[in-house]
Amino acid sequence: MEQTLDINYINLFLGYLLVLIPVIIFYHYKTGLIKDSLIAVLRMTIQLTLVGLYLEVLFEYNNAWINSLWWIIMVIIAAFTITKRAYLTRRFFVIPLAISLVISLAIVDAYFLGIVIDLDYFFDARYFIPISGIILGNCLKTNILGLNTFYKTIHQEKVRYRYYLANGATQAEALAPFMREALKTAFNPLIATITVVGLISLPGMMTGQILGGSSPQVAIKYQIMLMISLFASTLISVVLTIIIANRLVFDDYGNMKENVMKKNQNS
Amino acid sequence: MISVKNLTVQFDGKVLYRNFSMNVEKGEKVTLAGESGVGKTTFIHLLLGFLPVYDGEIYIFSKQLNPKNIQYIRSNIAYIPQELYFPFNSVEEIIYTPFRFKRNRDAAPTLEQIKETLIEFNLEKDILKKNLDEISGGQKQRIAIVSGLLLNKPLLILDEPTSALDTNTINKVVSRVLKQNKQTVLSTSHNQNWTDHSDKIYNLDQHGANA
Repeated sequence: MEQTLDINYINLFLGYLLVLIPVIIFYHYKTGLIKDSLIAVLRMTIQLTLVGLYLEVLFEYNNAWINSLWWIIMVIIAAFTITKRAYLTRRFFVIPLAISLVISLAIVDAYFLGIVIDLDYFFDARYFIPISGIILGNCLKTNILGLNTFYKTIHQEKVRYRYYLANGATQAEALAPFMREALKTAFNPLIATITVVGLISLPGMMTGQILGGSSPQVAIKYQIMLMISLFASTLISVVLTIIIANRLVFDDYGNMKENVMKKNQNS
Repeated sequence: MISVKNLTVQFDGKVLYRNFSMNVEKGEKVTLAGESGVGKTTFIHLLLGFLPVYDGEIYIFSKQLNPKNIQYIRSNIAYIPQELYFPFNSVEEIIYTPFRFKRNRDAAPTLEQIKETLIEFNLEKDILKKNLDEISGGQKQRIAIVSGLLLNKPLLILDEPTSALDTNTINKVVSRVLKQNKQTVLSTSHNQNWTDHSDKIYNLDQHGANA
């Protein structure tokens, strides 16, 4: 296999200079986003450096327990991130999210790695870690959008929800229209992405594989399987999180509790 | 039908009602009166289990208002809130939505029944096909009442049902709604038409913090 060209540190530094462009534009429009952008780039650099080091170790040992531990850590971080970005409160959502992410990712990993790729060693770090990571990373956005839309709409349209309940709807019936709207909002962008994949975007994993020396034929097969896995696991995780979290979020009368959403949604 | 005993409700240290009691018999038409902001809507929300924080006892259909009975209670009520901000596209949808729920499915009205009831409320039957942005606030309010009546539940709860209507139309609506013989009707309004024609009036002004 052909090796990808390395980037030396001087050139890497040159690459960082690109950040100046958004900084200048944000400064010009006084968006107040400069600090956040610089922190984001800094965090990304630190995180990826650490992950790079960690992955070196992971690949060296290639041990099922260590790899699974990493998998669990990724899921937990994802659960916290989704909760925060969807403006939901931790006490109601972190555990339901962690449970549903574990379940959805486990199902899809088992299918993708165990059946489709048919790995001899299921926990092989080279497949298990990046594929789980890319699925998890991509399902963040849809989860955030779906969960935020669902709970925010119920909160904002309390009158409608109560109207359903007070006119004989079961809780499931009263929640169904909100679920429908949340799924539409969350999955429309993902469906759009799947529709145009390859035409107006070359997806990350496929690009990575091609850069890494794989033939485009192999890369597209992986990409197709990835998109389908992503679709399935995201849908499972959104629906499952809502089902589990609703047991905590609603009181015995079917009312949504007051402190489910964080107040400063616009900040 | 409805029995409220020594109800006391406080929000953030402010007393909304103190020792309020009421008794509504089957078939009675009752109006909850009082100035704006006195807590009429809050009282309706209490009855429907939307604000389960109070001292005192509430019984509806001889069942105590508690999590065990709330499904039963709600399934025997038709409730029309003060303002309908629904993303429904058409008038038809307002009418049919409650009948999509399993508990109401068998009671779905025929098109004839719907049209007859619309006419009783001075609404043209063609209005069914209209979009919500094509009709006025007053028409919307009457359509909501029509849907509540068609549900034909033992208890009809209307929150400020005629706030967007002119006096003539209020007269028509009041006499039509209160004509329901078997149905118990509880409405909130400070309009005299409702208070004049009700069997009982409870004035919440007299039970609030300032009473």
